[in-house]
Amino acid sequence: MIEPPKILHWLLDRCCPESRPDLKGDFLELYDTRSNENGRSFANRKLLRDAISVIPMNFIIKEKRHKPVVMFKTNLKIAQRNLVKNRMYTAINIVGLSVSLTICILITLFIRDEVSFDRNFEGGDRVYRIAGNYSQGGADRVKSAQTSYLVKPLIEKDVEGLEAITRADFNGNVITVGGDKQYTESHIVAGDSTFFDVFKIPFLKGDVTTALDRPENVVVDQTTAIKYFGTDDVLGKTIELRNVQFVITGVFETLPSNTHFQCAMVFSISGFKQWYPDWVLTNASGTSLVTYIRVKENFSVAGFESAISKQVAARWHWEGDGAPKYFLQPLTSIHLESNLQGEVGVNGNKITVYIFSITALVILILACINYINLTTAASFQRNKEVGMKKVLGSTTRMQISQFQTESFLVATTAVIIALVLAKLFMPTFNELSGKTLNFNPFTDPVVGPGILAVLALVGGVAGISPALVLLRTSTMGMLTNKLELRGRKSYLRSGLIIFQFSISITLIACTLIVVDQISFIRKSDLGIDPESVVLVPLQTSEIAEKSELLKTEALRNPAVISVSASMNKVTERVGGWRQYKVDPAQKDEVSCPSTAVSVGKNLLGTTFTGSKWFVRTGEIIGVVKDFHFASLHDKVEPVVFYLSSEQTEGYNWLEVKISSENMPQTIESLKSVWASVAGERAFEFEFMDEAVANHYQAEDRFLKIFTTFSVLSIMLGGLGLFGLTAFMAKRRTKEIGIRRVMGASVPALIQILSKDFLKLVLIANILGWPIAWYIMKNWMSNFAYHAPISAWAFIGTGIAVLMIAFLCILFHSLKVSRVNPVKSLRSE
Amino acid sequence: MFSRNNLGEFEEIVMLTIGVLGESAYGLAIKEEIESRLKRAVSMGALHTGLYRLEQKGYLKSKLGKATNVRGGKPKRFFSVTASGQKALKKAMESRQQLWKDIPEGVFKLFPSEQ
Repeated sequence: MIEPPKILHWLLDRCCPESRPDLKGDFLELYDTRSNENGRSFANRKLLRDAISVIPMNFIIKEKRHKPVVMFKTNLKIAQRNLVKNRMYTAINIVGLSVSLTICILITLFIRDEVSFDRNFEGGDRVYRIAGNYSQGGADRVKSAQTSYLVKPLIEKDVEGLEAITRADFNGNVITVGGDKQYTESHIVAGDSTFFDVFKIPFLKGDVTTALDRPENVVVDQTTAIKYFGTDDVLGKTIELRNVQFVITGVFETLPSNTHFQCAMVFSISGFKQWYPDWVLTNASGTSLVTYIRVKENFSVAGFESAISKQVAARWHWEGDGAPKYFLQPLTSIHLESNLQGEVGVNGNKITVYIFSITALVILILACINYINLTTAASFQRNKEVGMKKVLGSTTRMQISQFQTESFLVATTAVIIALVLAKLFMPTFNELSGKTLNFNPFTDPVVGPGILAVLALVGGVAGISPALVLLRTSTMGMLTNKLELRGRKSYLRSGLIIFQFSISITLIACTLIVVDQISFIRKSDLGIDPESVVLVPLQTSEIAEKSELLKTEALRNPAVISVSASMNKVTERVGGWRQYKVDPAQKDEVSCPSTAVSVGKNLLGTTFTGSKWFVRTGEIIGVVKDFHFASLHDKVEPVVFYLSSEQTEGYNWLEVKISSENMPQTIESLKSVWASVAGERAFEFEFMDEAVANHYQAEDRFLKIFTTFSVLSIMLGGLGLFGLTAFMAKRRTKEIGIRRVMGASVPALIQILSKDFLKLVLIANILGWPIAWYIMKNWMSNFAYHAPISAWAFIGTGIAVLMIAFLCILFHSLKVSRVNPVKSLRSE
Repeated sequence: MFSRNNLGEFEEIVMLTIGVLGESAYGLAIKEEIESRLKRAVSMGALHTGLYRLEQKGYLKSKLGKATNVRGGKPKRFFSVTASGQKALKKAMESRQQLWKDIPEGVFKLFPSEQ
């Protein structure tokens, strides 16, 4: 095959019309034969002449595309007229879009914050937390974020790949500044001198390499420095903790809120060592603090984990199933993926992030569907306009640009409203989500482009669909008013309506079931009576030592029924991770939260010796009925109460059962008792029933969010249906007029008008129910005890949604049905 | 009324040639066939414009063949005469035959009538 020279190739491409590829093929074939027979120069000459002979053909072939005429001003004017003429649909569209966009913006900010956790640390991708998988005896194992005090010395020298390792003991305590000012701090960390080698937090004052070298050193963050001394120039100043003076040797930049732990000040762990009980310092199996490592490049996680097991075997002589298995968690994954025991703070949840993203997307899609449905329905009123433009030579592109102009106008308005709304609802959302989010739409790196993308989506894609629907129909049909409105188009619309309502139904059914479950667990008997029990934290060990005194003083008031003290807060999970929970408590503990004594008294007098790690022999003196400590998330767990005194175990909490009458006065008297015993320390207390209720915070939040979403979705669906029926009713004005003349009653007409839509809603029910059932079945598995999923949740949802849909339709149906048929039939 | 749909001479030749070629009637083949049979040069431009116009009138229809490597990857466009094209051809032929028939004897001396 002989090819013509490049220049002729180029000429051929210019001369042959694009739509006729065969022409060029003919030329090439001819060129080939000619050059074989008469030589190339002959072929070239001939080709040149032939190519020129084709040029006129380009003027004959009509398939050349015209460049669109820019008619922006005209488009804008027509768009404006149309939007104003159809005020109601414009309003429905703008409301729907702006509400859903607001939700999207808020959710985007929330998600961005969630995934940004712990990403601010320099080289944070090389930081890991060592977590442990511990045997609970037998086959049961438990994973904990905490490790023993002894893990650092175990591995720091003998395991390769480590750049730095630090322990971090997170706790809260009271700091005294200048001898008299007291601050309760909940973000105190005791760390090794290598703490800032692992977490590279920038220092403002002091030397990062030596700051924590001595036991009496402490480093504070800027915020705390200013809070205590009014300046961040605080090097050399002292603060007091548990009557020990610590010298400030550094000030670091305050941590952002998106870290999985908060720390206001870092003490040297060697200074804290004096307060650690023996078991912390010597027991390798104990879990008391968190260990973090920073590793070198080319680090192998699996290699490290096996090296650490080898060390456990070699140095602690601990092998087999009973030995703790340590594993690494990348720092950046902790917030969203880790949910172990002994986490430092409340972590986020990947599932929540997924649920939120999906919801934001679904709500945006719902609004877009409304938009498409309404604009396609409305565009049928514009068949004359489109037809006339077509007759006058307007191209498809120009027609589309008209519809797009309108979409862009609507979308832009909606975006502006959404931004304002998002700003307005920011505080409410922050309260709901427990975050401190803020944004500036002009500088925000995600929200700005996101909004542009939405504009493009709504303006571009949603704007095209009505244009395409219209342009498919014939011009003559449009102008002679014989437009076929049934058929394929309504399948799309029906499909979209079904989709919309299935989502609403799913959400509403889920909400009802969540409400059911939450009221079920709230109302079920915990086994203990949390009513009118006051929990008082014994803030310091000095006060705890006086608990006996507090008790006798408090009992002088007849409204105080009984008083007890315990090591753990009774509404929390007691103990850590043993097969049974041990709770050092005073003798009155049992009587205090009024637990009924059960009948299993045959255990009385048996001796109890505890297990391998916890040996305490005692005689069983009573058996209490099963009860839930915290919430119905968990099963009733085995608990052993044993008597203790302030000499053996420290008390942290005082439980006071008071009479339900005159509670404020009783609290006042407790307060004065506290003042007389504990001195200046402020009296803090909480009610046990409220503490129990706190366990359902997550569910409450879930419920609130779900309710909001389901209300929004049904609102969007309803709005859409409302708009659609308006169009349907308008289009069928004549039909209705004739029916009325023939004697149809108003109810019969309403039935005719609403039948089609209600059928769709019914189908949506059938689709939505199983989805809701499936989701809720999974959600319920979070709880040890669940309410049965009642059929009423589904039937109720179905009826409610049908009612809402019917009400939306009713308005326009009534309006149309009651018009005097003379009016509707007279006009032509 | 005069119909604009009368076939031109070249158009007629093209359509008849397509008929002659049958299945293998594509641009270049048509050109070569006309050239060899009628001994006259046919320019690519004229031929393809003619083919396009006939197609627009509905006398021809075409379909693209498979792309091959031989023609620089370009397909062949095969033409065939549609029913209305055939009718138009027949009409043209009949009107000429009628004209021939109606020529009085002795006018065309070179071609004496067959009878």
